[in-house]
Amino acid sequence: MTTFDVDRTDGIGVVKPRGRVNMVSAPQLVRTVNELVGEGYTRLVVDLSETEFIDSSGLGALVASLKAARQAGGDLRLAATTPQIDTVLQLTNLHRVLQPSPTVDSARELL
Amino acid sequence: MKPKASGARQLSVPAVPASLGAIHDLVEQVWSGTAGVTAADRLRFETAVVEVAGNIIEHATPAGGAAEVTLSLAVGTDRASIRGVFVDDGQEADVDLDEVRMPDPGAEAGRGLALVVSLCDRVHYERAGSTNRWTLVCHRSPPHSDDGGVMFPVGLTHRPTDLRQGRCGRNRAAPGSAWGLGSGGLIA
Repeated sequence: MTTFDVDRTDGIGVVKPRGRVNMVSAPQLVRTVNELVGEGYTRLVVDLSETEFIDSSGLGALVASLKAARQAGGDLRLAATTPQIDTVLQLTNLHRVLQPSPTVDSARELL
Repeated sequence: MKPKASGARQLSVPAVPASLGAIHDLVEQVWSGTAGVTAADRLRFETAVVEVAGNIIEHATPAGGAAEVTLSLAVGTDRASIRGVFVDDGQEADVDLDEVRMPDPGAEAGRGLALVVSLCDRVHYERAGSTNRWTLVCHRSPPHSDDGGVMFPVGLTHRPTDLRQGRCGRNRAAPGSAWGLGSGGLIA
């Protein structure tokens, strides 16, 4: 069961998926981000430190989340990617637009 | 003499999203029963299996179809490779692996099979009678070659003429397709 922790400290929304982000759980990631954007949190970080695995559905959810943030005038950064996530980001060229940062703090500083 | 497979596992499940966890768990069980598979080899095979499973689950049942589709997966390893074979009784897959391309970064779907082709050394699909059969093969790296880091250097854009026999580690995303997508570039 994948869960999504949310933190709203200092005006930045941080979403932390725990478990696998796949075709079952990816829609919940998008819903979580859309709820934050709806609350006015348009600067977002997705903390992937506890994300065991991500598939193409999860990547699509990250792209949708980035679009939602930018369309609301904000931005979204990834933080603490694992080797599996780095691999799929690079193979799909998404590392260029999703721009992972090593830590949540360093991602926050870029927003 | 054919090398003996070790850590072999198989399962048969309904081709529905709820089965994805069991499919993923099966692959992890293979690792626990097989010594010396590097972390890098595990992650690329695991990712490829989940992507193919997702493709079958998404497309094997025709729109409006009531019949339940069953998917079986067998995974095994030998000293040289990791192999997975999916068989399902769903509708024929409308796929040409030679034509699979990585979509642009702004796309929200369509990356699954492109990832599979990039991750595996061999990907084969065939329709036999009323069943679909997918075969995935990843060659194993030497046990001590695992540095725990990312194994795909950025910028490799080699495209083999036969994607189905392509080597792993090649980035087949369209070169430069992400350029020009700076801040705000993903907004339609």
